[in-house]
This record gives sequence, structure tokens and C-alpha cells, in this order.
Amino acid sequence: MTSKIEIADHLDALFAAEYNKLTRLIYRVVGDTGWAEELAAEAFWKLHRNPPSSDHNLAGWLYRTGIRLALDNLKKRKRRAHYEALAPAPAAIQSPQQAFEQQEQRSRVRHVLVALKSERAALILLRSEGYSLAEIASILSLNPSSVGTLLARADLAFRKEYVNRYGER
Amino acid sequence: MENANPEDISRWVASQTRLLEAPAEWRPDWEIALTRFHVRQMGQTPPAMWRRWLAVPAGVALFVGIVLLFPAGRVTAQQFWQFLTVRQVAFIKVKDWPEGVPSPGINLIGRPIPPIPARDLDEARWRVNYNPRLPRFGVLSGSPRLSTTFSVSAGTVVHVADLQLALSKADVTGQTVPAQWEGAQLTLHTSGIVIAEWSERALDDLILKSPPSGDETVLVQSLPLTLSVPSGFDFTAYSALVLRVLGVRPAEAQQMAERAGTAPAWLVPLALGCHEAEPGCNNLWAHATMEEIRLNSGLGTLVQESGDDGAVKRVTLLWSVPDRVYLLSGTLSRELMIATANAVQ
Repeated sequence: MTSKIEIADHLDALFAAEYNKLTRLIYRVVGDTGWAEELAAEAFWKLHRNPPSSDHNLAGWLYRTGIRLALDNLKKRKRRAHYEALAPAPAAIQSPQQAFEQQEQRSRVRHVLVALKSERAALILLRSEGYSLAEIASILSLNPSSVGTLLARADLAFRKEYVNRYGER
Repeated sequence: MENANPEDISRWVASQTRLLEAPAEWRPDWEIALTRFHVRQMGQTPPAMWRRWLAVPAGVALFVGIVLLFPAGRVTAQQFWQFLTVRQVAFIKVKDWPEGVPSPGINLIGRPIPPIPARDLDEARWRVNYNPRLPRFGVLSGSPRLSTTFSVSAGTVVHVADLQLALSKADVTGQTVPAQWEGAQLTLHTSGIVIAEWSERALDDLILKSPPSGDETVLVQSLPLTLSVPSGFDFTAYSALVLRVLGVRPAEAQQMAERAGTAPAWLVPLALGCHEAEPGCNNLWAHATMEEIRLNSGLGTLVQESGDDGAVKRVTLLWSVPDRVYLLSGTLSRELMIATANAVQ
């Protein structure tokens, strides 16, 4: 199929089915709910403005675009520290010291994700959000039989990058 | 872990990324997002009137609704209101105050103070002595600019002969204005007011580098307005008579007056822009439609202002809860304004 698809036919259903999941996935990268919603909306906007040539796996297209947007924005974002400070802690905090350490650790993990190739970061993010290997393969348009191997490589790359930056711990 | 096996590394990476989980209580709202998307598609442009409205001391906005009940000379001629209940029931055409009859005038008591910027909600709370409420995070983009004003009061004096003459000229028969109303002083008071403004243009420019949408939204809130009237004065009956002069049919006038008696602010937008002695102020609401809508917290009044081309330029929503009166106005769509009002907490 060479012509652009008519995306308007799919948008409402895609919003209903994918917006919340995409937003939560993006949150893992940017750590701010408002920012995550903006970027998820921007992924939909890109789908509307520059749709793929086929309507096959539009959800996958959205997820790939959303993750890339999130990673790119985090790289560029000069106000990152400000927004990370806004991010609520996911678990109960027992002390200011613990809160600080968790904040630092989240920041490190995000820095490492941003430093990886975007496909590897996407693999790790999708798995952490609970997607199965088959779902990850579908979203990222990968051969299902190779996803496990690619994930292992992504994990190793994450580990190496982390150790290079912050040392063993 | 230099020589760790892949499974150990995978577990370790999973433990790290688990730190990034979104808050469990966070529920992104896809319906709001979709509405915003459609608004963006429509490519709204910022109405010039809106900026002018912002120049009006926002503190005044909350109480000028009552001006409808005391129609000053500047109240617009030939406004058409679309008066809807939950389902559309009628159109109400509001006429001029009868020519040659002095109309009740509104007098500000004291001098309105322009809004004073507040650094954050704590500072705003400290100034007004109540907890300001905002839409839950994420409904509107970014953080609002906050400001506060002091309490504002305004009043009018009832002149029985003028009102009786106005009724007569408006061909309203069978209505008598009680003589004991003569000289009654009616005064409306607000509490300290909190104003929150969101500018999506700034956020778009900052984050997404996309063309500005021009959307701007303001939420004004006060503790419930208080109305001071002389003992025994029937404010609802007075309101109904004024509405009759303006051409509202008896049953609707009574219904509107009863609502106005408990929440006068619901009439605010009908007078906005035409009460202030602001240079250039003219008939902002010449193309306004009004409807009664149901919010999560109860009934609200929604006014849509259209331009000459019929396109909606601004939406204003008024509603009250037992401990607050709210005015929400902006260039977002009707649906998004309602969603925003429902998200105020």
C-alpha cells in the first residue's frame, strides 16, 4: 500500500484503546504525569499529521513514536531536574534520605535508558510495563523468536552503561 | 556482577526499571486527551476579546452577574440567549431596559484591587484564607499562574417608581412593586478571590515546538457570594420582576430568579464586558448562547460566545458547590471545559 491511510477512521478507537497505556509507558521515561500526557498526545498528533503508509499495527507505530519522543525529549530537556523533582514517588517513603536516594536512582536509570539505542530502551521499557514477548515483538515489529535474545542484549547494554557511569553497586 | 549470567542481569535491570513505575493512583484520561486533540485539529485562534477580558479586574467578574438584575445602561441591547435546561426548552430574547426609565445602577463599594500574583497555592491560600482548588493535574497543560484579589462588594438601591414604570413600558401587567421596597439597599460580597490562568501556548512553545494553539484558560473562585438585603425584602421576587422587564416569560423569570437568589454568579457572563467602564467595552455577548448543564457537582451554566462567522470564540462556565463559586473561561471546547470543571478538586 503506497498511499497514506485515512487515519481519522482509527483515531477515536486508538485513543480509547492505547492512550492510557502509552501514557503510562512514557511516564517511565519522563517521570512526570503531565509531561507524559503531552507526549502521548503528541504521538497521536504525529500519527494524524504523518500517518504510516499502512494501517497495520498502528498501535505499534504509536508506541514506537511515543517512546522515541520521550527519550528525545528527556535528552533535550534542560529542565529535567525540575520535572524529576516533581515526580511522585511510587512507593511509600520512609525518610527524606530514602526519598533522596530513590530520586537519585530513578534519575540514573533514566539517564542510562536515554544513552541506549532507542530500540533497546524500548525493549526494556515495554517489558518493565508488563508486555509479553509476543506483544513486544508486535509493537516493535520484531521477529517474535528473536525478542528474547534482543532483550538479553538490551539488558547487558543497560548494565554496561550503568556500570560505566555509576560503577558497580 | 561483571560475570553475572543473563538471568541475573535481567533481574537486576527489571529491579531498576521498576523504580520508574507510574503512580498507581494516576489515571490518564483518554477522553480529555481526545477532546484536546480535536480542539488542536480545529486550529483555534486566540480571540482578541479574551485578552481584553483579562484586563478587566478579575475580581469584579464574580459578582457582576447581578448586574443583569440591575440592568445598567450598558447592558446590551437585543441579546439573544439560548436558555436551555438539561434539554433545550426555549429561546429567551432579552430586551433593552425601557427607554426613558432610569435603570438601577451598580456601585462598587471600595476600589477594586488588580490581581496580585501568588508564587504558589500556599501563598494564595494564606492570602484568601481558604484552600484554592484546581483541576486535577494533567487536565490542563502545565502549571497555572496564580493571583489573588481582596474581597469585593457592590450594591444598588431599589427605586419603586422606576421599576413600576419599567414594568409598564415593557407591557408587563398585573405586577405590583411593593412600596416598602423603596430605598432598599442590596449588596453582594465576594470573599478573597483566587485566579488561576493556564496558557497552553507557552507550554507548546516550550516542549513540543509546535504551532501555538492559542488556548488560554482561567479559573476564578471565591467562597459563596453573600447577598445583603433589608429584612423582609424578597430578592427572588425583585429578580423576577427585573427579568420580566427584560422580556423573560413569567415561568422562566421565576425559575431564573430563584437560581439567581442562591447563586447570583451564574449570570456573570451575560453581563461580562458590558458592565465595566472599560474603554472600548461593547457587546461581547451579542452572539452568546447559554445553556444549563449538569456537572458532577450539580447544575452549571455554560455560555458560548461566537464571532460573526458563527464559530465559538470563548466558552465560560459557572457553577457553585456549597463552599465555592467558580467561573471557568477560555477558548477550549465546550466538552473540555465541562471536563475541566468536573476535574476541579
